[in-house]
Amino acid sequence: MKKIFTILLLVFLMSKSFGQNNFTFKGENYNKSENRWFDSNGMEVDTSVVTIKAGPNFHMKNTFGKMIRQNKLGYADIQVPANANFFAFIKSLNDELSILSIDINTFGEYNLTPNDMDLADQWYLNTIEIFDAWDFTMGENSVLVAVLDSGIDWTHEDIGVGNDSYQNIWLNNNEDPWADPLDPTTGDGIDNDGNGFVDDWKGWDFPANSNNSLPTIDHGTHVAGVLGAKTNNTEGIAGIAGGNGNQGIQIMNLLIGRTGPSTAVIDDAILYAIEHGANIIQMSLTVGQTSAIDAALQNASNSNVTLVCASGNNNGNVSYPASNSEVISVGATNAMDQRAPFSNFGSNLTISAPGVDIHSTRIGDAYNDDSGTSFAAPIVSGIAALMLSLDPTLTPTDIRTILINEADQVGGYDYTTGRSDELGFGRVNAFAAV
Amino acid sequence: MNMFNKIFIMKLPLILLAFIFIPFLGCESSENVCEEIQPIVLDFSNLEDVVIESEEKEDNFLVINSEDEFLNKVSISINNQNNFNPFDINFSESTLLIGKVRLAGIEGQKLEERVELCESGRTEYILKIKNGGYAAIGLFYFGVIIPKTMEENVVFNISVSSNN
Repeated sequence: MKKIFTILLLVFLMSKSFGQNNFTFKGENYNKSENRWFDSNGMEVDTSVVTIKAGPNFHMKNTFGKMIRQNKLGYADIQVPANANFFAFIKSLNDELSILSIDINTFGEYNLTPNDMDLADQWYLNTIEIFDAWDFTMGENSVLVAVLDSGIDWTHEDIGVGNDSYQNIWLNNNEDPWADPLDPTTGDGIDNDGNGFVDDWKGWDFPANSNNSLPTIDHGTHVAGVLGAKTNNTEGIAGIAGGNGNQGIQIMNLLIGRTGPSTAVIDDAILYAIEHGANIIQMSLTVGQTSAIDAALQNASNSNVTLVCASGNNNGNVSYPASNSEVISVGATNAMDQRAPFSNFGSNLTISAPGVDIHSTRIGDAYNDDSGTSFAAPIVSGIAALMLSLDPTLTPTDIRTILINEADQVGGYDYTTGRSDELGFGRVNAFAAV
Repeated sequence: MNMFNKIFIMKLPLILLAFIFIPFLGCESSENVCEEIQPIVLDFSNLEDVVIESEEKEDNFLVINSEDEFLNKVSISINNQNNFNPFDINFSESTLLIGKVRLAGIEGQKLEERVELCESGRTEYILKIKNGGYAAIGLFYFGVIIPKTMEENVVFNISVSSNN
């Protein structure tokens, strides 16, 4: 009877003691917030594993949980039993005289701040919490993003080879390299891979039917920089999925019109992207609807390719092809997390991302700020690329679902139905999405 | 009162109305007499780093009538000396109409550009631009050199249409 009373008293005291929101152990204060424990530095406690140093008389007991590993210095990682009260468990270990030390483990942070020179000009990176997302991945070269645009300056130091030994420009490895990697005219004149495009080693200019995909206006280079400029390479800007001082995602350069997109070739470029293994097709354009483009978009979606397009800048309804139901349409927000005044909106808008004063690359190793939904879309494409870097099995539907479920419902708009017409399902959050 | 007077009195209001409106009809008809002139059109493809009063992406239309005004309000670099040089304008004989308009998409395209000179002295610069298909906020620059005229006589009639 006395024994039962003692046990009940202990259980009562322990429940009283451990049901609280703070705990002190070895002089360190731990606080509970939203069912998670944090140390005094704000690091989250790993309540699944405790590290102990066992003395010579130590014998493992069932109540200690399962030993996962032990190193030659005598430190052992113990798995905390399922459903155990963590600090009650710590106390029980602490009462064991044969245990010389107990360490409570925490989840740290990598705190990567890339060394790109213009990082301070990229205000939008903080907004979308990309620095936390980069703790998980900065983009893998297994992910291929086709950029349908005005052409990308693949000689740019922060996208192409430049001063580094690597580049984020996709090379068609089934085509023989050009004799001079900077001169499209030095190909062998043979369609080595038999895909119908001769010497298409660094993309293709569809309207001109040429392998010289270098641009004459900045738009495509600006878009590509936001998406995948080389990150942590001491130069220029940090792309969303530009790698970590090494190759990030691969960017496929598909030129669909030097001064404006041509509907005659957009379908062909989409099919090229699918046939060459693109995971994502990034579009920052507005054109008139055609059945050929609709069919190509459907084909891409059926081929497990994620489609992302800018919503347009007319302060009106979402334009085409962003309005196509297979496409993730992206509106623009400003630094106040409000809809940019120009950004198209309405029931066809999926999500939003920063699109005002976006600092990125331009032709000739240069950089500038530009605005438009054009530059919001590659932020979303980049985040989708990070997601695929971590989990290549994600489908376009998975990506869309995660992006919209993890978006921040900002701007003070009415989200009672889960979305607002102004920002769609909200402003994208890279950290939450990955 | 004879028959003539009776008719005259009956028609007097009509006669008065006619006298009231004749001058207006006359003015209207003389103002509407406009003819298209052939200005020198600035080719901005040969000009770089154009700044018209500020770098802001907003509409701005200027009538420039002196070299000082030009140098104070407009900044342009020339990338091809063989083409038209805006710094050569003879402002004693000519007026420069120059401006920029904000576009919802780039690159914009000219659909129509003409200048009309009316008998009243009014000069109307009519320009229709089409938005480009790439979804970036941009600027479209335009300009013409016309025979000397005063700022108050110039009307800019600039319109931008959708890209599709």
